[in-house]
Amino acid sequence: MNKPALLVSTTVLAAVFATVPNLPVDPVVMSSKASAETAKKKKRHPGKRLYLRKTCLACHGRGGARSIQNYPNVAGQPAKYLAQQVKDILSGKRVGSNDENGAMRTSPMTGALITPEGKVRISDDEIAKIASWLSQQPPAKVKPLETPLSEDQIKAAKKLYKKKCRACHGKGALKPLKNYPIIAGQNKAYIVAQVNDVKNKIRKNGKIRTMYSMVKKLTDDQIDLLASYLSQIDRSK
Amino acid sequence: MKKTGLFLATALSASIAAGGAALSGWNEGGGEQDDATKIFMTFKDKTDEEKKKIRKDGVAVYEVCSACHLPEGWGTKDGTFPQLAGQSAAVIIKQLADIRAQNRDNPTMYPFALPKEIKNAAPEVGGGPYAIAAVAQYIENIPMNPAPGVGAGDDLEHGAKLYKDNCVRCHGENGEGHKEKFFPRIQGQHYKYLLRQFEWIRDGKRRNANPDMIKQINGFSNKDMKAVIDYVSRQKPPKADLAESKDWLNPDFD
Repeated sequence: MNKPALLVSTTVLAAVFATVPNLPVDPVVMSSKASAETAKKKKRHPGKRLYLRKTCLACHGRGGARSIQNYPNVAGQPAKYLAQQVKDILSGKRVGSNDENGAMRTSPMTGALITPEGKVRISDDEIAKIASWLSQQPPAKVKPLETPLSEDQIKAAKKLYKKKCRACHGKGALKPLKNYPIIAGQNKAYIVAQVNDVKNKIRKNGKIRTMYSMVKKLTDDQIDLLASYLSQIDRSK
Repeated sequence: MKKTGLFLATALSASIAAGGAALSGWNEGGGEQDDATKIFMTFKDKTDEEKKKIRKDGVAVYEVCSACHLPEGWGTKDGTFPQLAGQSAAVIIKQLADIRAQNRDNPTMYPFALPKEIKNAAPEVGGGPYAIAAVAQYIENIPMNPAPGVGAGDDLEHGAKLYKDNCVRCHGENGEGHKEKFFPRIQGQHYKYLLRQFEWIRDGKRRNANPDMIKQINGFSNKDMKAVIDYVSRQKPPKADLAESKDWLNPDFD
């Protein structure tokens, strides 16, 4: 019903971005709210069908926002980042440590998308479509911690974040550099696993090299604190 | 819903009463299988309003399954995931309960079948026996894949003969199965999936296999196995149970 209005707002948004050529912030981040609304109207984004038919749903949950175990919530992430990670996982450039079931972290995904004969079941175009759809989905709701952080802990976490993470992942973990992941509101168990994998030089794909020097001296407690803090940032606000 | 569970329900109660003792332990029932079956049997007496709710709950739970078995319930031609659509609710309930109780090894599916995960995905349904019953009811009524994966087609006569001599008694003339005895429908199932299960049953890898079947297929060579499975995968389910085209998309998830 509100289609014309919505269309106008999207067009205006597009126009704004078009007229500012060197926009420092990823448009996906800027427009995540507006895009989420657009996504509701556009029921038949081809990425949705593919998301449902390429086994993504099993681990990342409905709309990419209900991940299980220590898998990431992928809703509302920059499309380019998502697509690159999938490609890196399929090509073996991105690997991980073993998860709690003793399986290498990325193996459920390669197992689902690569046949036993070695044939990749998903094309680059399909990956791009899924990533585009996911980037427009509303981010996951915050899952409250069993024990909430004290004010002192939050203060300490913010200080640590500023020193170690902010340069790339941005203010409040909400505005990262272009095509970097938004880590605010991410599944805590995933953040812990990834920081450890980077620290232990297991995850080495992409621009992760720069992250290694930041996290190599972090203690387990510090990683837990950071992950707890980040997981509680509500992206919908 | 195009099928009512009346016939099945009566047959199942008989089967529960008998305790499956005659089948030497492969189907002792008990636990969730009985709980879910009892709930399933009550579905036929529900009001239309209640049936609608059961269907809705079935859809909500099936979303978890759909990640691998696909929204259409057709599985994958390469046999990684079997077709579930059109399988009898009794079989679905038994297999799901067996996997949950670790009577059938399925490490890929196991975590997703757990009550915790199903409840996480469908909090309004919960993850218990009712969820199993509702999803089984839903799955039984999904139209089936008209173009499943088949074998090479080069030994069908041999396959047909083997089928007649060895399989008809339990799986029926055309692989339609036997609901009340928990014998699955195998017609129109993907060749590669059937082949894997057959081999696991023959070689003792599938723990919840029917011992009668293990005995029956004991002497099958790999060539026999391929021939009979190829034949089975080509058996067509009744038209009424098939989707109108191989491009059908399940409107409940589209």
